[in-house]
Amino acid sequence: MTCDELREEYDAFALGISEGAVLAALREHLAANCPTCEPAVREALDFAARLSLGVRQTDPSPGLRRRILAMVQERPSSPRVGWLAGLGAALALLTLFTVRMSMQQARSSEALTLLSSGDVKQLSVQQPDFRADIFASRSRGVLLLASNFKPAPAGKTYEMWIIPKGAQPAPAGLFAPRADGSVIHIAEPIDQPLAAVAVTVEPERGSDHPTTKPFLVATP
Amino acid sequence: MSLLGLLLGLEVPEGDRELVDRLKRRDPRALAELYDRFGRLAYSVIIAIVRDSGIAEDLVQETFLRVWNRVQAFDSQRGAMGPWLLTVARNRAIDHVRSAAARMSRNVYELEEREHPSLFVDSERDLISSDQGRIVRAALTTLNDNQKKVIELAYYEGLSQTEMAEKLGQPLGTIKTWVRSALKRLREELDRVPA
Repeated sequence: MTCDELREEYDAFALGISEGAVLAALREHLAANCPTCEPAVREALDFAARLSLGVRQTDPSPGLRRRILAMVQERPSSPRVGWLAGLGAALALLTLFTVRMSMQQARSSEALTLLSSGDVKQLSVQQPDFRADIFASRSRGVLLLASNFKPAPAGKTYEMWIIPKGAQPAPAGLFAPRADGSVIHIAEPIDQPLAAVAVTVEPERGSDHPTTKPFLVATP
Repeated sequence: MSLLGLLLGLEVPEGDRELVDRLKRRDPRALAELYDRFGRLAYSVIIAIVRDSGIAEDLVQETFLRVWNRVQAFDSQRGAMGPWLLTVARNRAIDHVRSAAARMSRNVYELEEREHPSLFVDSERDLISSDQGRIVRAALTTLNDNQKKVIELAYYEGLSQTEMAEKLGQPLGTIKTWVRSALKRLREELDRVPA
Protein backbone atom coordinates (compact mmCIF):
# COMPACT_ATOMS: atom_id res chain seq x y z
CA MET A 1 0.00 0.00 0.00
CA THR A 2 1.19 3.51 -0.69
CA CYS A 3 1.58 6.28 1.86
CA ASP A 4 -1.36 8.03 0.26
CA GLU A 5 -3.55 4.95 0.73
CA LEU A 6 -2.48 4.77 4.39
CA ARG A 7 -3.12 8.43 5.08
CA GLU A 8 -6.57 7.84 6.57
CA GLU A 9 -5.36 4.94 8.72
CA TYR A 10 -2.86 6.66 10.98
CA ASP A 11 -5.35 7.59 13.69
CA ALA A 12 -6.88 4.11 13.78
CA PHE A 13 -3.39 2.64 14.10
CA ALA A 14 -2.59 4.99 16.96
CA LEU A 15 -5.73 3.85 18.74
CA GLY A 16 -4.77 0.22 18.21
CA ILE A 17 -7.73 -0.75 16.05
CA SER A 18 -5.96 -1.32 12.73
CA GLU A 19 -5.73 -4.87 11.43
CA GLY A 20 -5.09 -7.04 8.42
CA ALA A 21 -3.44 -5.64 5.32
CA VAL A 22 -3.53 -2.06 6.56
CA LEU A 23 -1.74 -2.94 9.78
CA ALA A 24 0.83 -5.03 7.92
CA ALA A 25 1.45 -2.24 5.44
CA LEU A 26 1.84 0.36 8.17
CA ARG A 27 4.30 -1.85 10.00
CA GLU A 28 6.33 -2.17 6.82
CA HIS A 29 6.39 1.56 6.29
CA LEU A 30 7.38 2.19 9.91
CA ALA A 31 10.06 -0.51 9.85
CA ALA A 32 11.50 1.20 6.78
CA ASN A 33 11.44 4.59 8.57
CA CYS A 34 9.07 5.90 5.93
CA PRO A 35 9.53 9.70 5.89
CA THR A 36 5.81 10.20 5.25
CA CYS A 37 4.24 7.61 7.56
CA GLU A 38 6.56 7.82 10.55
CA PRO A 39 5.97 11.49 11.39
CA ALA A 40 2.28 11.07 10.64
CA VAL A 41 2.01 8.15 13.04
CA ARG A 42 3.83 10.16 15.69
CA GLU A 43 1.34 12.92 15.26
CA ALA A 44 -1.53 10.41 15.41
CA LEU A 45 -0.16 8.99 18.67
CA ASP A 46 -0.14 12.51 20.00
CA PHE A 47 -3.76 12.89 18.94
CA ALA A 48 -4.69 9.58 20.59
CA ALA A 49 -2.96 10.66 23.81
CA ARG A 50 -4.89 13.91 23.69
CA LEU A 51 -8.13 11.93 23.57
CA SER A 52 -7.12 10.46 26.93
CA LEU A 53 -7.68 13.87 28.46
CA GLY A 54 -11.40 13.40 27.94
CA VAL A 55 -11.68 10.98 30.85
CA ARG A 56 -13.04 12.26 34.13
CA GLN A 57 -10.12 12.71 36.48
CA THR A 58 -10.10 10.64 39.64
CA ASP A 59 -7.61 10.51 42.50
CA PRO A 60 -5.78 7.27 43.27
CA SER A 61 -5.13 6.36 46.88
CA PRO A 62 -2.35 8.35 48.59
CA GLY A 63 -0.38 5.13 49.02
CA LEU A 64 0.11 4.67 45.29
CA ARG A 65 2.77 7.37 45.09
CA ARG A 66 4.67 5.68 47.92
CA ARG A 67 4.41 2.27 46.25
CA ILE A 68 5.76 3.64 42.98
CA LEU A 69 8.65 5.49 44.59
CA ALA A 70 9.52 2.43 46.67
CA MET A 71 10.31 0.66 43.42
CA VAL A 72 13.40 2.76 42.86
CA GLN A 73 14.42 4.34 46.14
CA GLU A 74 17.03 3.51 48.77
CA ARG A 75 19.77 2.52 46.38
CA PRO A 76 23.32 3.12 47.65
CA SER A 77 25.36 5.71 45.80
CA SER A 78 28.10 3.74 44.06
CA PRO A 79 29.20 2.81 40.56
CA ARG A 80 26.73 -0.04 40.77
CA VAL A 81 23.81 2.32 41.23
CA GLY A 82 22.66 2.01 37.61
CA TRP A 83 22.09 -1.67 37.61
CA LEU A 84 20.93 -1.64 41.20
CA ALA A 85 18.18 0.76 40.17
CA GLY A 86 17.26 -1.70 37.47
CA LEU A 87 17.37 -4.44 40.05
CA GLY A 88 15.00 -2.50 42.28
CA ALA A 89 12.64 -2.13 39.38
CA ALA A 90 12.92 -5.84 38.64
CA LEU A 91 12.15 -6.71 42.25
CA ALA A 92 9.09 -4.52 42.04
CA LEU A 93 8.11 -6.16 38.78
CA LEU A 94 8.57 -9.54 40.35
CA THR A 95 6.36 -8.46 43.23
CA LEU A 96 3.72 -7.46 40.72
CA PHE A 97 4.03 -10.84 39.04
CA THR A 98 3.71 -12.53 42.39
CA VAL A 99 0.68 -10.60 43.52
CA ARG A 100 -1.19 -10.24 40.28
CA MET A 101 -0.31 -13.38 38.45
CA SER A 102 -0.23 -16.05 41.17
CA MET A 103 3.29 -17.09 40.31
CA GLN A 104 4.52 -20.40 41.64
CA GLN A 105 5.97 -19.81 45.08
CA ALA A 106 9.13 -21.83 44.55
CA ARG A 107 10.08 -20.06 41.36
CA SER A 108 9.33 -16.70 42.95
CA SER A 109 11.64 -17.50 45.81
CA GLU A 110 14.37 -18.70 43.45
CA ALA A 111 14.09 -15.54 41.34
CA LEU A 112 14.22 -13.30 44.39
CA THR A 113 17.31 -15.12 45.61
CA LEU A 114 18.99 -14.55 42.26
CA LEU A 115 18.03 -10.88 42.17
CA SER A 116 19.33 -10.42 45.70
CA SER A 117 22.68 -12.08 45.07
CA GLY A 118 25.75 -9.84 45.30
CA ASP A 119 26.99 -10.50 41.79
CA VAL A 120 23.79 -9.99 39.80
CA LYS A 121 24.00 -7.77 36.72
CA GLN A 122 21.20 -6.56 34.48
CA LEU A 123 21.87 -7.33 30.84
CA SER A 124 21.09 -5.02 27.99
CA VAL A 125 18.19 -6.39 25.97
CA GLN A 126 18.65 -5.58 22.31
CA GLN A 127 14.98 -5.63 21.37
CA PRO A 128 13.70 -2.35 22.76
CA ASP A 129 10.20 -3.08 21.47
CA PHE A 130 9.93 -6.17 23.54
CA ARG A 131 9.14 -6.21 27.26
CA ALA A 132 11.81 -8.35 28.86
CA ASP A 133 14.44 -8.02 31.56
CA ILE A 134 17.34 -10.42 31.89
CA PHE A 135 19.63 -10.68 34.91
CA ALA A 136 22.77 -12.77 35.23
CA SER A 137 24.53 -13.90 38.36
CA ARG A 138 27.70 -16.01 38.24
CA SER A 139 26.58 -17.76 41.40
CA ARG A 140 22.83 -18.05 40.81
CA GLY A 141 22.24 -18.27 37.06
CA VAL A 142 20.29 -16.26 34.52
CA LEU A 143 16.78 -14.92 35.06
CA LEU A 144 14.36 -13.87 32.34
CA LEU A 145 11.36 -11.77 33.40
CA ALA A 146 8.96 -10.91 30.62
CA SER A 147 5.36 -10.07 29.95
CA ASN A 148 2.99 -10.17 26.98
CA PHE A 149 4.72 -13.23 25.58
CA LYS A 150 2.66 -14.89 22.90
CA PRO A 151 2.39 -18.68 23.18
CA ALA A 152 4.87 -20.49 20.93
CA PRO A 153 3.36 -21.76 17.67
CA ALA A 154 1.80 -25.23 17.71
CA GLY A 155 4.48 -27.90 18.02
CA LYS A 156 7.11 -25.33 19.04
CA THR A 157 8.55 -24.05 22.29
CA TYR A 158 10.81 -21.27 23.51
CA GLU A 159 14.39 -22.11 24.38
CA MET A 160 16.95 -19.97 26.16
CA TRP A 161 20.61 -20.05 25.20
CA ILE A 162 23.59 -18.96 27.24
CA ILE A 163 26.51 -17.97 25.05
CA PRO A 164 29.88 -17.91 26.84
CA LYS A 165 32.65 -15.76 25.41
CA GLY A 166 34.33 -17.57 22.53
CA ALA A 167 32.06 -20.58 22.78
CA GLN A 168 28.96 -22.00 21.14
CA PRO A 169 25.48 -21.35 22.60
CA ALA A 170 24.62 -23.76 25.39
CA PRO A 171 20.97 -24.82 25.92
CA ALA A 172 19.58 -23.05 29.00
CA GLY A 173 16.14 -24.54 29.28
CA LEU A 174 12.76 -24.60 27.59
CA PHE A 175 9.91 -22.43 28.77
CA ALA A 176 6.35 -21.48 27.94
CA PRO A 177 4.58 -18.27 28.95
CA ARG A 178 1.80 -18.56 31.48
CA ALA A 179 -1.79 -18.02 30.38
CA ASP A 180 -1.47 -14.30 31.17
CA GLY A 181 1.64 -13.99 28.98
CA SER A 182 4.14 -13.66 31.83
CA VAL A 183 7.44 -15.51 31.86
CA ILE A 184 9.84 -16.22 34.69
CA HIS A 185 12.59 -18.52 33.53
CA ILE A 186 15.75 -19.31 35.45
CA ALA A 187 18.78 -21.04 33.96
CA GLU A 188 21.65 -22.64 35.80
CA PRO A 189 24.81 -20.58 36.37
CA ILE A 190 27.83 -21.05 34.14
CA ASP A 191 31.51 -20.77 35.04
CA GLN A 192 32.71 -19.01 31.89
CA PRO A 193 32.40 -15.27 31.17
CA LEU A 194 29.10 -14.50 29.55
CA ALA A 195 28.92 -13.08 26.02
CA ALA A 196 25.15 -13.10 25.53
CA VAL A 197 21.82 -14.66 26.38
CA ALA A 198 19.36 -15.43 23.60
CA VAL A 199 15.91 -16.91 23.11
CA THR A 200 14.76 -18.80 20.03
CA VAL A 201 11.69 -20.75 18.93
CA GLU A 202 12.52 -24.45 18.73
CA PRO A 203 10.74 -27.75 18.13
CA GLU A 204 8.64 -28.88 21.11
CA ARG A 205 11.32 -31.12 22.59
CA GLY A 206 14.00 -28.44 22.33
CA SER A 207 17.25 -28.40 20.40
CA ASP A 208 20.92 -28.91 21.16
CA HIS A 209 21.82 -25.82 19.19
CA PRO A 210 19.67 -22.89 17.94
CA THR A 211 17.79 -23.70 14.75
CA THR A 212 16.06 -20.34 14.32
CA LYS A 213 17.20 -16.73 14.51
CA PRO A 214 17.04 -15.41 18.10
CA PHE A 215 14.22 -12.93 18.61
CA LEU A 216 15.58 -11.83 21.96
CA VAL A 217 19.27 -11.17 22.64
CA ALA A 218 20.79 -9.69 25.78
CA THR A 219 24.41 -8.76 26.41
CA PRO A 220 26.32 -7.72 29.54
CA MET B 1 7.51 19.00 15.99
CA SER B 2 3.93 18.22 15.02
CA LEU B 3 1.97 20.43 12.69
CA LEU B 4 0.18 22.02 15.58
CA GLY B 5 3.45 22.54 17.35
CA LEU B 6 4.99 24.11 14.28
CA LEU B 7 2.07 26.45 13.85
CA LEU B 8 2.27 27.54 17.41
CA GLY B 9 6.05 27.65 17.55
CA LEU B 10 6.02 25.47 20.62
CA GLU B 11 9.28 24.23 22.07
CA VAL B 12 10.11 21.33 24.32
CA PRO B 13 9.84 22.85 27.77
CA GLU B 14 13.11 22.96 29.64
CA GLY B 15 11.41 21.24 32.56
CA ASP B 16 10.48 18.21 30.48
CA ARG B 17 13.95 17.96 29.02
CA GLU B 18 15.57 18.23 32.40
CA LEU B 19 13.12 15.73 33.89
CA VAL B 20 13.93 13.16 31.23
CA ASP B 21 17.66 13.65 31.76
CA ARG B 22 17.23 13.09 35.49
CA LEU B 23 15.16 9.98 34.88
CA LYS B 24 17.94 8.70 32.65
CA ARG B 25 20.38 9.29 35.49
CA ARG B 26 18.09 7.11 37.64
CA ASP B 27 17.17 9.93 40.00
CA PRO B 28 14.24 8.70 42.16
CA ARG B 29 13.15 12.29 42.77
CA ALA B 30 12.57 12.63 39.05
CA LEU B 31 10.18 9.69 39.21
CA ALA B 32 8.38 11.40 42.07
CA GLU B 33 8.07 14.54 39.98
CA LEU B 34 6.83 12.53 37.01
CA TYR B 35 4.21 10.89 39.22
CA ASP B 36 3.12 14.22 40.63
CA ARG B 37 2.59 15.54 37.11
CA PHE B 38 0.97 12.54 35.48
CA GLY B 39 0.00 10.04 38.18
CA ARG B 40 -3.58 11.25 38.58
CA LEU B 41 -4.13 11.42 34.84
CA ALA B 42 -2.64 7.97 34.24
CA TYR B 43 -4.85 6.55 36.99
CA SER B 44 -7.91 8.28 35.53
CA VAL B 45 -7.23 6.83 32.07
CA ILE B 46 -6.70 3.35 33.46
CA ILE B 47 -9.66 3.24 35.83
CA ALA B 48 -11.95 4.50 33.06
CA ILE B 49 -11.04 1.31 31.22
CA VAL B 50 -10.64 -1.35 33.94
CA ARG B 51 -13.24 0.06 36.41
CA ASP B 52 -11.53 -1.44 39.45
CA SER B 53 -9.43 0.77 41.71
CA GLY B 54 -7.11 -1.98 42.94
CA ILE B 55 -6.34 -3.22 39.45
CA ALA B 56 -6.01 0.36 38.22
CA GLU B 57 -3.38 1.14 40.85
CA ASP B 58 -1.40 -1.99 39.97
CA LEU B 59 -1.49 -0.94 36.32
CA VAL B 60 -0.39 2.61 37.15
CA GLN B 61 2.54 1.07 39.00
CA GLU B 62 3.35 -1.04 35.93
CA THR B 63 3.09 2.07 33.77
CA PHE B 64 5.63 4.04 35.77
CA LEU B 65 7.91 1.03 36.06
CA ARG B 66 7.83 0.61 32.30
CA VAL B 67 8.62 4.28 31.73
CA TRP B 68 11.44 4.12 34.28
CA ASN B 69 12.92 1.05 32.59
CA ARG B 70 12.65 2.43 29.07
CA VAL B 71 13.46 6.06 29.47
CA GLN B 72 17.00 5.58 28.14
CA ALA B 73 15.48 5.27 24.67
CA PHE B 74 13.55 8.53 25.05
CA ASP B 75 14.83 11.60 23.21
CA SER B 76 15.02 14.32 25.83
CA GLN B 77 15.67 16.99 23.20
CA ARG B 78 12.55 16.27 21.16
CA GLY B 79 10.25 14.19 23.31
CA ALA B 80 7.49 15.14 25.70
CA MET B 81 6.69 12.70 28.47
CA GLY B 82 2.92 13.17 28.67
CA PRO B 83 1.81 11.53 25.41
CA TRP B 84 4.22 8.63 25.90
CA LEU B 85 3.17 7.97 29.48
CA LEU B 86 -0.54 8.16 28.67
CA THR B 87 -0.08 5.76 25.76
CA VAL B 88 1.73 3.29 28.01
CA ALA B 89 -1.02 3.67 30.63
CA ARG B 90 -3.85 3.06 28.18
CA ASN B 91 -2.04 0.08 26.66
CA ARG B 92 -1.63 -1.53 30.08
CA ALA B 93 -5.35 -1.10 30.73
CA ILE B 94 -6.43 -2.36 27.31
CA ASP B 95 -4.19 -5.37 27.67
CA HIS B 96 -5.88 -6.12 30.97
CA VAL B 97 -9.46 -5.92 29.73
CA ARG B 98 -8.93 -7.84 26.52
CA SER B 99 -10.11 -11.40 26.76
CA ALA B 100 -7.45 -14.10 26.81
CA ALA B 101 -8.63 -15.22 23.37
CA ALA B 102 -8.30 -11.72 21.97
CA ARG B 103 -4.82 -11.39 23.44
CA MET B 104 -3.70 -14.66 21.88
CA SER B 105 -5.12 -13.82 18.49
CA ARG B 106 -3.19 -10.58 18.31
CA ASN B 107 0.47 -10.09 17.69
CA VAL B 108 2.51 -9.93 20.86
CA TYR B 109 4.16 -6.73 19.66
CA GLU B 110 0.89 -4.98 18.90
CA LEU B 111 0.70 -2.84 22.01
CA GLU B 112 4.43 -2.48 22.34
CA GLU B 113 4.88 -1.14 18.83
CA ARG B 114 2.74 1.89 19.59
CA GLU B 115 4.52 2.86 22.78
CA HIS B 116 8.16 2.82 21.84
CA PRO B 117 9.79 6.00 23.19
CA SER B 118 11.20 6.88 19.77
CA LEU B 119 7.67 7.49 18.51
CA PHE B 120 7.04 10.21 21.06
CA VAL B 121 9.19 12.98 19.73
CA ASP B 122 7.87 16.26 18.44
CA SER B 123 4.79 15.79 20.58
CA GLU B 124 2.35 18.36 21.76
CA ARG B 125 3.72 19.97 24.87
CA ASP B 126 1.20 20.93 27.43
CA LEU B 127 -1.09 17.94 27.68
CA ILE B 128 -2.25 18.72 31.14
CA SER B 129 -3.27 22.29 30.76
CA SER B 130 -6.43 22.90 32.64
CA ASP B 131 -8.84 23.25 29.74
CA GLN B 132 -7.86 20.24 27.70
CA GLY B 133 -10.19 17.77 29.40
CA ARG B 134 -13.18 20.01 28.84
CA ILE B 135 -12.21 20.59 25.21
CA VAL B 136 -11.90 16.88 24.47
CA ARG B 137 -15.18 16.09 26.19
CA ALA B 138 -16.88 18.85 24.22
CA ALA B 139 -15.45 17.39 20.99
CA LEU B 140 -16.83 13.96 21.90
CA THR B 141 -20.31 15.41 22.26
CA THR B 142 -20.26 16.44 18.60
CA LEU B 143 -20.19 12.80 17.48
CA ASN B 144 -23.40 11.06 16.52
CA ASP B 145 -24.43 7.89 18.37
CA ASN B 146 -22.75 5.47 15.97
CA GLN B 147 -19.51 7.44 15.92
CA LYS B 148 -19.54 7.69 19.70
CA LYS B 149 -20.11 3.96 20.05
CA VAL B 150 -17.16 2.94 17.90
CA ILE B 151 -14.83 5.44 19.58
CA GLU B 152 -15.86 4.07 22.98
CA LEU B 153 -15.31 0.49 21.84
CA ALA B 154 -11.92 1.45 20.43
CA TYR B 155 -10.76 3.60 23.29
CA TYR B 156 -12.16 1.78 26.32
CA GLU B 157 -12.22 -1.82 25.10
CA GLY B 158 -9.43 -1.87 22.52
CA LEU B 159 -11.61 -3.74 20.02
CA SER B 160 -10.39 -4.07 16.46
CA GLN B 161 -12.74 -2.92 13.72
CA THR B 162 -13.62 -6.56 12.93
CA GLU B 163 -14.45 -7.15 16.58
CA MET B 164 -16.61 -4.02 16.61
CA ALA B 165 -18.45 -5.25 13.52
CA GLU B 166 -19.21 -8.53 15.26
CA LYS B 167 -20.25 -6.86 18.49
CA LEU B 168 -22.50 -4.31 16.82
CA GLY B 169 -23.81 -6.67 14.11
CA GLN B 170 -22.76 -4.29 11.35
CA PRO B 171 -20.77 -4.85 8.15
CA LEU B 172 -17.05 -4.15 8.52
CA GLY B 173 -17.25 -1.44 5.86
CA THR B 174 -19.88 0.39 7.88
CA ILE B 175 -17.75 0.23 11.01
CA LYS B 176 -14.74 1.58 9.13
CA THR B 177 -16.83 4.44 7.83
CA TRP B 178 -18.06 5.28 11.32
CA VAL B 179 -14.52 5.09 12.74
CA ARG B 180 -13.02 7.29 10.04
CA SER B 181 -15.75 9.87 10.22
CA ALA B 182 -15.58 9.93 14.02
CA LEU B 183 -11.82 10.43 14.09
CA LYS B 184 -12.02 13.06 11.37
CA ARG B 185 -14.69 14.89 13.31
CA LEU B 186 -12.68 14.76 16.53
CA ARG B 187 -9.60 16.05 14.76
CA GLU B 188 -11.55 18.94 13.30
CA GLU B 189 -12.95 19.84 16.70
CA LEU B 190 -9.63 19.55 18.52
CA ASP B 191 -7.70 21.37 15.82
CA ARG B 192 -9.98 24.33 16.28
CA VAL B 193 -8.55 24.63 19.79
CA PRO B 194 -4.74 24.37 20.08
CA ALA B 195 -3.30 21.79 22.48
